Amino acid sequence: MKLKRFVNRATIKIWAGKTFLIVRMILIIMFLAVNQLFAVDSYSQNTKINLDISNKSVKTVFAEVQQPVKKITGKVTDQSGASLPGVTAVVKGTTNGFITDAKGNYSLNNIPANAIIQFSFVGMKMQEIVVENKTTIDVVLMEEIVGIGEVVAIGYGTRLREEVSGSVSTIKSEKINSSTETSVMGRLQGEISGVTITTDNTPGGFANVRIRGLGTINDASPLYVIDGVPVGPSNNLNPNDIESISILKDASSAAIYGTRGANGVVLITTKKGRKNEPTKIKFSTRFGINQSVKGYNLLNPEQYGEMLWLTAKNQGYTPGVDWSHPYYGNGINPRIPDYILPTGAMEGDPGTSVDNYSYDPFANDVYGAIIKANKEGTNWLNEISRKGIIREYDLSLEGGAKNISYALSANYLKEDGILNYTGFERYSFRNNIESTPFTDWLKIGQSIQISLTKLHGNLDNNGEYSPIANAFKLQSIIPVYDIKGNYAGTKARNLGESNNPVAQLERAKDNKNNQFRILGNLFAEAKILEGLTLKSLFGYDYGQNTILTRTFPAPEHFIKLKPAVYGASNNSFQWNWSNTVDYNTTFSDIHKLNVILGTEAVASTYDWMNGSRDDYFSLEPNYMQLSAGEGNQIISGSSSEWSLFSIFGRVNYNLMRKYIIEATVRRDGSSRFGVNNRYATFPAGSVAWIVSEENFLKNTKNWLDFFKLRFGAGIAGNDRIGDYNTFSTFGPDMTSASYDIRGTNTSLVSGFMPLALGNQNVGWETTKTFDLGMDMKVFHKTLDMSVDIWQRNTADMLYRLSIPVVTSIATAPYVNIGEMKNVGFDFELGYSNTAFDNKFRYSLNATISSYANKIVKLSDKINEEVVMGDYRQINYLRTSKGRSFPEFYGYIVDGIFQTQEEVDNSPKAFGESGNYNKLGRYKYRDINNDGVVNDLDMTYIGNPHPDFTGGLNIDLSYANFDLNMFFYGSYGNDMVNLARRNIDFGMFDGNYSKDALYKSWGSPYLENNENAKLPIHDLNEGSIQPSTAFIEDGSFLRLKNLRLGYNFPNNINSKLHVQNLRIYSQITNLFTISNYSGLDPELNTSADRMGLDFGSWPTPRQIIFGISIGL
Amino acid sequence: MKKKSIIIAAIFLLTMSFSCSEEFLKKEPMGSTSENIFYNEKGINALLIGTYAVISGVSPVSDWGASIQNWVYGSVMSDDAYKGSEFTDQVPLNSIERWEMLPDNPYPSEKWSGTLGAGVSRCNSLLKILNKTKGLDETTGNRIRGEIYFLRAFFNLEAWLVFKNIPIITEDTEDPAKVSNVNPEGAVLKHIINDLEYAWNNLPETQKDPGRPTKYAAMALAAKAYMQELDYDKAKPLLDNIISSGKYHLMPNFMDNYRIATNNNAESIFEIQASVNGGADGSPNGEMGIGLNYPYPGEMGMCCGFHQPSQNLVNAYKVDENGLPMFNTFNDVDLKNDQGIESTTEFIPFEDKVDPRLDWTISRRGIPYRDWGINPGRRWIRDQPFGGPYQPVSKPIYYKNERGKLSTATGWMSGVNANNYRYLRLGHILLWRAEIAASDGNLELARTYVNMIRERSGKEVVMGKVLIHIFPPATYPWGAGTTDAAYMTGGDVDWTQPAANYKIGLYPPFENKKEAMRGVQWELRLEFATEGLRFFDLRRWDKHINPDFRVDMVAILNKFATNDLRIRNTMRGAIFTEKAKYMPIPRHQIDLQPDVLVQNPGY
Repeated sequence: MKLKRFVNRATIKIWAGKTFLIVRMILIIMFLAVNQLFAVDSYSQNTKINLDISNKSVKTVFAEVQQPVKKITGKVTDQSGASLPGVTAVVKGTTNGFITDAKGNYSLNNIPANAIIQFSFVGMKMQEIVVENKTTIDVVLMEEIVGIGEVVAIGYGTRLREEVSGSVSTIKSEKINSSTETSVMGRLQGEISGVTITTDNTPGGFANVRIRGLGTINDASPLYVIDGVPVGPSNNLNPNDIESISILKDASSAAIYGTRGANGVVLITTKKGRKNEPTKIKFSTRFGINQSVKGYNLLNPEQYGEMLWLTAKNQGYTPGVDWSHPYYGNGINPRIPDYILPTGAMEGDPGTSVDNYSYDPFANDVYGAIIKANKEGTNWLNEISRKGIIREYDLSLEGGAKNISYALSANYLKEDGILNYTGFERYSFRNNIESTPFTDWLKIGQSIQISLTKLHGNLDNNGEYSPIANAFKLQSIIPVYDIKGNYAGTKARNLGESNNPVAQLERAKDNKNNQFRILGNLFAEAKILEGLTLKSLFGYDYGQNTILTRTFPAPEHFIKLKPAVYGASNNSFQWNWSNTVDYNTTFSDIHKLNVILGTEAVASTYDWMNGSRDDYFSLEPNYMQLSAGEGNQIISGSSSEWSLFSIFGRVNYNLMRKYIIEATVRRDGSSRFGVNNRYATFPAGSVAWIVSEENFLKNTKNWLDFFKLRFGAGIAGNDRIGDYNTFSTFGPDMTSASYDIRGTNTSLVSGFMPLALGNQNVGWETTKTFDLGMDMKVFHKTLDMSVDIWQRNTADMLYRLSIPVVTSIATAPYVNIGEMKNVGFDFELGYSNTAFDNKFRYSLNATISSYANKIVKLSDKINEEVVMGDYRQINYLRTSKGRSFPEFYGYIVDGIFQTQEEVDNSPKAFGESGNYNKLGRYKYRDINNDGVVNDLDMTYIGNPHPDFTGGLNIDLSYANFDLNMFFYGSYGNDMVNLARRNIDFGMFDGNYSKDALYKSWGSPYLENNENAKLPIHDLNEGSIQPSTAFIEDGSFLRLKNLRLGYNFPNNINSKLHVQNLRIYSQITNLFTISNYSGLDPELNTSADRMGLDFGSWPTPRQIIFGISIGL
Repeated sequence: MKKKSIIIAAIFLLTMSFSCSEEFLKKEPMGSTSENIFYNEKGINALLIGTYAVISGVSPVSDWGASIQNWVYGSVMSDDAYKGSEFTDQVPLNSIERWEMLPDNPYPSEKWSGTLGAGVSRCNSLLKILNKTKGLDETTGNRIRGEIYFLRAFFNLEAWLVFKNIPIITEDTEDPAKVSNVNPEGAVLKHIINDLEYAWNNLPETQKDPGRPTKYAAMALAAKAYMQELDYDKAKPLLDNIISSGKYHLMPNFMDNYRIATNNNAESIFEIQASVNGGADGSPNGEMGIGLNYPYPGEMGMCCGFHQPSQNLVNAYKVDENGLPMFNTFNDVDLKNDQGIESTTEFIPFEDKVDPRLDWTISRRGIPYRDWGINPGRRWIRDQPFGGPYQPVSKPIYYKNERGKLSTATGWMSGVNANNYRYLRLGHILLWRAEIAASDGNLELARTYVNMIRERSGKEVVMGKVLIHIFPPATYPWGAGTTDAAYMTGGDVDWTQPAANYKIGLYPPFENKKEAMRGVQWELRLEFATEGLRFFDLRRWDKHINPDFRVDMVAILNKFATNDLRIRNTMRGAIFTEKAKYMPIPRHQIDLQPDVLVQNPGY
């Protein structure tokens, strides 16, 4: 026991400590040395061979050569323009052939003019070209849509695409690279069915990925595994490094990941070199601009004055008699002042004299700025928006020698945000190296990725005090600057409480969040017997985060803050060690068997520290470091850890390449669960039937190329419930457990309080999945289709049971109580063909993903509810049994009261003594018909989940040009534009929408009140209750991507001494069709704020130019 | 060969199972601890401090709605004060001000959580641990138990005041979630008194730490509970006991009860300790429950302008020639105010005679505001048409010269400060005793105690006659030519003169019980205005069967709402009804405890 512990600790220490770094350094140096030694040119020279075509069907069609013969040369490339070495070019019907060299070039002698040349390559469609009078024939080979022999990663192994029996989708590097999203997962949006992805548009933001609906009310994000190493979602992977991504969508494929597989698994495979391949160097760069697209329709100062007067009249005041406004005056009509500070002063007022001006960011109470009214109105959103610059440089090297292969890359990306002073940079390096040092029986390899991501500026998104929210909240009469060029703001009265967002962004320009990450693996793989492979892989993922945020006094803001600095740092280290035995065999030619057995240990530690101080002597950013602060020195920190140990196995049996059966089982033990429920077993199985191989379908061969039916069922788990759920804990807390019992006024005695209630019995959340799928290829493989119908039942869902406060206010433990059901279908369709002699190539790829989510049970209480989406003490989201997680919740509005009779005949709102009902106000529905509208009449009023999302890729190419269009859309999801609660209904003396003035009931601009879009504007609590009036249709269709590329022809390439050269131009987010009134219908939020838009960072439009050069 | 390889493979798999040990999967929490380390005096004390920590109402699940100062339920709902600020801030509070709250209103939900959740549940879990703890000496153990019982009674009383029907949960309750809030008449009061009886029998007469309750604090709290039910007979001996103990004396000045410098003074019986800058960001121990209730003007840089005194309250400070309240006519005509008048327009404050407590309790235009400067009127008000012409109530504010030291130096709620809330002070005891005396017919005793309070109140007045009546921004803070004048020097203020025409007279002998009772009731309002008692006082006086003593709460509040339309139209159409005397039981809690919690009548 003790020895074991020692070994464990020692292992961790070695890998976490300095030794680890030294080992890393040595490996890198070794790699570079090896690269120099072998990469030079150990590749066999362009070998001309005679192909032995022994196919019986080949007849000597062109036996007599009558026409003059000639020499033909050319180059073979793939769709992306990369040269293809090793392609077979053969004169049809002869043995005269050639294999393209490392640069994709070939030359054929003695070719008659009527000859047809066939080009073929594994995984590519064969092409035939008639020679005619050409002497140069350049060929672009198209990938087979589901290429025969395509290998798919399936978790601890690979499988031929056609023999996969579970529900697995894959995507290749090419598709990944057509998007400009900075995160890898963001680039998959709409490309894979069954995966719902919303992108965060902040610089460096991550995408929100949900595979087949929301599997749980807890963290429903999938497990990410990079080259066998499980990692968190926030991996700053360079998308260019990715070879392919496999998504394990159902339990029959994900059960091999046991407790972590319930929400799907994303397997990322990075690029590796090939043995015996000369070094390929590729350099690519792109640059462009990033800009915002849409704004809000807000009032200018003159209209704002009218709005104030209209509101006062609606409230029963008579402006000029019993109502006035501090700066719009006390007249019958508003007058725009010349100054807003001094409040409402006109030109010539002695208070506006420059002599009175004073401004001192340090002084507590002296603020004598003078602010002129901006009579034209400040467009705050314009003031904070800019055209950001995007730049990316990518250099990669791939190749291999006799017993080594390698791939390495370096990438730099810099993207400015569309808001001032925001942006991010990413430096990433990767190298993969594999070697068979002796003979082929042993393979050792390693992979390492180092990335540094630097975010800067105010990236606050979708929050009440974010720069965008401040931009729509601030009145337009406030100028950006006061008369002396200092920032203007809300110091004067009745200007609201928003920050000047221009100042906010400028002051935050040096705020930083640096994320450093090293992840990778080392492995050894031994073939100790034909078909029997042992593999041991050690993976690691180290991350370090440093945050520095400065607060500057904002003298122009109504509350001035002290200069302060907040610093935070955290480290995470996770390692996994997996060992597998893989056995492959075929007997009697028809029985194919694959067995894999393995064990895996995973351990993770996380620690954090943060501190803050205020009172800074100087506001110089260099001075404002943590140590320099004089006041309020606060520090905190802690750590956490978890571990997992598993045994797993999988058997796959394939009979006659027609019938496939697979069984998987994994047994996991986790530190996160109670001793009573520490271990659990996850079984899964699937069957597949390749119907097209059957004899009875023989006569359909002329159109049906491939047809497979699949069925899978299985159980996978979810363990994301925090690390210490089994423990009841107590802790100190400066806020809620300390008291100044000694009466000192300025110090505290620290005490303890219950923090959390533990649950020893907590166990796994298990998701059972059933999947019925079909894959089909028809019409000579031009059309392929894949359909899955699935159901996921989550049982024992870990639910943090709401406990009555009388029980305790400590954090309630998770209990295994809830049940959730997701059903849906995934649909993928591809069509690809050529026309005009192969000169015109086109392909269409469509995906549709649809799911319906339902809570089957939350707890034993029938009316148990989860309430979410709070904005200013009003909750917009909720769920309960029989509902989706989550849905919008509120009152139903049946229009606006147009007649007094209607008012008199309607049930009282709100409550029996309520007197909300009035002409021009909303007519709320009395759902339970008890004659009064009150909180019992609230109900579910909208669903933020889409009916379906879909993507459509259109690829066209002609000669050297190619065009890609990508459409993405979402249909049937509801949204709440929370910004409207501010700008339509008024909040904190903020600005109003044009609708509020021109389309509210009783507006003098409205010819007929029946056309009123909004109720009477009289500031009342009743009209802003969450209701159907706030629900909008969030459906949209967007042209996400439009790209035009050009591959330079060979003659130019050779003049430039490059292998290939490609330029392209791209525009994203070109148009959007949507009825949504906010900035952007594409919204990325956590599930508990789903569909709530408070001025979320909009999808920018990017205009990009790029070039890539192959050497 | 084949066999050998399979053996190798098997060994390979087995050896890598090294970490399949329980040790590997055993991970314990860091930075927190489990219950078993608390079974000793040190542990009990630590948890006890953690229980005191939620006495202000602010807890992990509650803030403004749970404030111990009851500014919402005791003050905004009464005729003392308005919600203030502006309509769009803290929207759910608008319906409370208008007595139209529904059971899903977040404010009462916070009070429920702060008292029964944070408060009572921490007391009970601490009592359970105390019961398992061995080796405490008896005196210490009893004292600690007394403090816990005091705290439990305190939290129960607070919940009872607001909701009336609350579950009685003790350390012996098996499942608190199953305890109904329907109780026999008097059961909650009895439970509170039981706890307090233990407390006054076991707590010392003085405590080393001023934050801990004494024997007399327990008695005073019990008296407060009895007073709610007008159980004068039970309250009387407790009050007499406190008064005759000789431990407490009135402070020389009324304002000593509202100054940080005189926290925990000779008049104090039990104070809620406020503390700032003690290491917690934003100073949440500085009674954050009223963190929104400080002046709004940018010049002060505080937040957020809530809890503005009503015109009705201001009128209540009117006095006649003898310096006595104008019981019947006080609200017929409003004292002159600057509603609707800009700071830059001339306004001369009234010269009517007023009780000097007026300008300590409220801040109005043309009067010096502590050491902050001359109140320039509308410029300092967040939204005058909505919230009226008066600054947020003045009693909790600090002095400008204390800023940053005794007020929080971090966060945006920069009004939060170290001013203790005098939850129980001798003033309460004297006036309650006077109330009982008035009822008993001991008119002279009632007069004595009321006059003690009045006499003291006349000793200190707001100084500084403001000489200017127009306030362009440059006059800040003390008038022409001064931008940072020291308090009480220079500027457009005559510091030798009182700020207003103050007068306070002593009552001559009361002619009858009715007059005596009226005098006491008025004094309670004037002395404790805006301290969160008014609504509850109206409610208990409404319970008097004797028409001479009875105050018709419904009539008073509805009349207040009607007359308030003279100032603003925020209360237009608002009607106070019987049901609004108590808050609804939070709907969410009823949902969690169906068939256990029963909603209050009318909701």
